[in-house]
Amino acid sequence: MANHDYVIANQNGANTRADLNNAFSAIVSNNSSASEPATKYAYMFWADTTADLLKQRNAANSAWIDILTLSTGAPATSGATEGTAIVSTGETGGTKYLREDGDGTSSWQSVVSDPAVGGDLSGTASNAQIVANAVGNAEMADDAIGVAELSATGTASSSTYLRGDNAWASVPAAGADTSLSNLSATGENKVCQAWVNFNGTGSVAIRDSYNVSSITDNGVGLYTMNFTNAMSNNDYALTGTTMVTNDSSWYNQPTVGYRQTTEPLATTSAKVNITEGNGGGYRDPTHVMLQVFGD
Amino acid sequence: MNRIIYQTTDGVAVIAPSDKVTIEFCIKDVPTGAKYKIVDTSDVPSDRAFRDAWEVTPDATWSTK
Repeated sequence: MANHDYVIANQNGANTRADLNNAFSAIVSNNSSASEPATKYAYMFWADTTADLLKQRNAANSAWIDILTLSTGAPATSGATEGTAIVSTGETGGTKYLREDGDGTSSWQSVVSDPAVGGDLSGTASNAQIVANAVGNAEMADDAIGVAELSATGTASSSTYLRGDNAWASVPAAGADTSLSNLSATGENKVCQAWVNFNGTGSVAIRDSYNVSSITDNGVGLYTMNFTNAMSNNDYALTGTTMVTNDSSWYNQPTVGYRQTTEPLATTSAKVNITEGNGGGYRDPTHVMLQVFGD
Repeated sequence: MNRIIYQTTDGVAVIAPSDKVTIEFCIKDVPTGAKYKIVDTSDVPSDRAFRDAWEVTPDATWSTK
């Protein structure tokens, strides 16, 4: 370790020789020292044994430039100034970056200015994320993502499907009645709560119905529709129509109504009168069709 | 299929059940306090020319709702 001011003083022969030897020692050791030389010159080397770095004085003799690591010979990059301590390969426009290669060396790599993804994705990533608007046009192969890779509650199987709330839900069994069971209370108000099609002639009989347990024949043109399950209140809407077969007189087409003094609508039943369309009396139609909407 | 008949102030009411329920289930459709009877459909006249003139006389075989 040696430093020298590189000035040979006026002195006797022995001291001059010693002064020269000290200067040579400083030269051959690149001014190696734990502290910087007291006298510094532009472009002067300094083997900084404290920082384990070979440094060179800049042209203005105002600062040190890190050159390389003394113990390994690797280029010194810490605190380096672009274009000085690290020599670029000459490209313009910032097309390269210096990569640490993981083996004690480094190399210049090309910067990908528009990292468009093409080809197959491979590898693993435990926390990968596709950011918003990252993909403009992409196509996913049919088997790109298997069910096993989807995270959802429940059990994935041939009888379940993935719902919007990230849960595996069971597919309703074929033929299952899902018309009302899957409706909310509000939704039920939008569907027919009861309906019936019955024959009002001969022996009164129901052809088909929903939520209607029976029809009470009270007399000619007088019927009561009895509900299987009662309505919540009697503010429901009742509609109906009739048909009469083998009668071509339009004015004889019966109408559904009610003209008695008692309340026709109850939670358990609804009464109707069927009258002739020409203002005549009660009439038994071949087809009476009634529907109920409400709570 | 059966029918339920019961006496009313105006005559006779006949309950025709849906094929989705039993005749016994339809007893609920008989007014409370009324006398009623479950009969064969064939026992109810199919000629309705004088429907409003039908009458019945309950006897000991009738039930009370």
